[in-house]
Amino acid sequence: MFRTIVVGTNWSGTADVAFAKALELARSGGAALHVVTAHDPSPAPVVGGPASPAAGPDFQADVALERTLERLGAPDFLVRLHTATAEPGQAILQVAEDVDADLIVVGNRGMHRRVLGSIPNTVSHRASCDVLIVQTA
Amino acid sequence: MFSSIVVGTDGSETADRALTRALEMARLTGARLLVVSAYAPTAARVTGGAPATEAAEWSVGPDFEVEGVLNRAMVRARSEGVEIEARAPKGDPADAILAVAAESGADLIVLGSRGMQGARRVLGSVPNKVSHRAPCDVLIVQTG
Repeated sequence: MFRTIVVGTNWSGTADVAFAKALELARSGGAALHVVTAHDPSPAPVVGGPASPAAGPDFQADVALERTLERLGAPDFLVRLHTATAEPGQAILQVAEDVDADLIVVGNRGMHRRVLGSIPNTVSHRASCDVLIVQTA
Repeated sequence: MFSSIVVGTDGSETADRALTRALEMARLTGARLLVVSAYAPTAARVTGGAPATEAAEWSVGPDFEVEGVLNRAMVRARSEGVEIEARAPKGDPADAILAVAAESGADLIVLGSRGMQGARRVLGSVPNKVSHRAPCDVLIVQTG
């Protein structure tokens, strides 16, 4: 049904719920899974922090993905990690376009409970493919 | 993954794509399907009428149309071996779909990305409202 699935995550417990669903959909349908994790560049960078913002977060994302996959069970299909320094909603949409995704999976929650988060809101309004908003609260 | 799927349709060609996806999801997960047709008829169908109020829209015999839409969906689902039921609630489509989902304990709502009058690539008001208030997962099928 779906051949290329993109899932956004910040590696939180609630994001894991969406991740697990994307993984299950990819497995049952034999789809490729692209995992997107993004750091919003808008907050002021820490002075004296790492020169390349990609270096630290990239490594962490690798480890986080490995741990998440371990916890959810090793996949037998392609999982590819994409890291971006961008607003997460934009990053997810960009990866979806780049890999010609036919499904984007995102969690429904932002920082505030009971309100659709800004990321799923951005993605659902602007995606050019199907969007699964997973109830993670 | 899913055991009870609610899909909204207005019988349009674009809504049929959402139904197709919902049938695929049902087959993939073994879920039962609940098809809901609650989309209010457009004002244009009220020939020569005054600006349509909600009551007026629903007074021109939409039951008959809705029944046809639901019957077609049910015939299609059964031909594909998917267990299906139909609901034809009246009123605001988003509210009706949310109510059916809550009552039936659905774990997924499937909707097209736009309504009949929606512009391309703009999320329709029904999927927008449902995605903000749903008690369960929502799959928005790109139908633009």
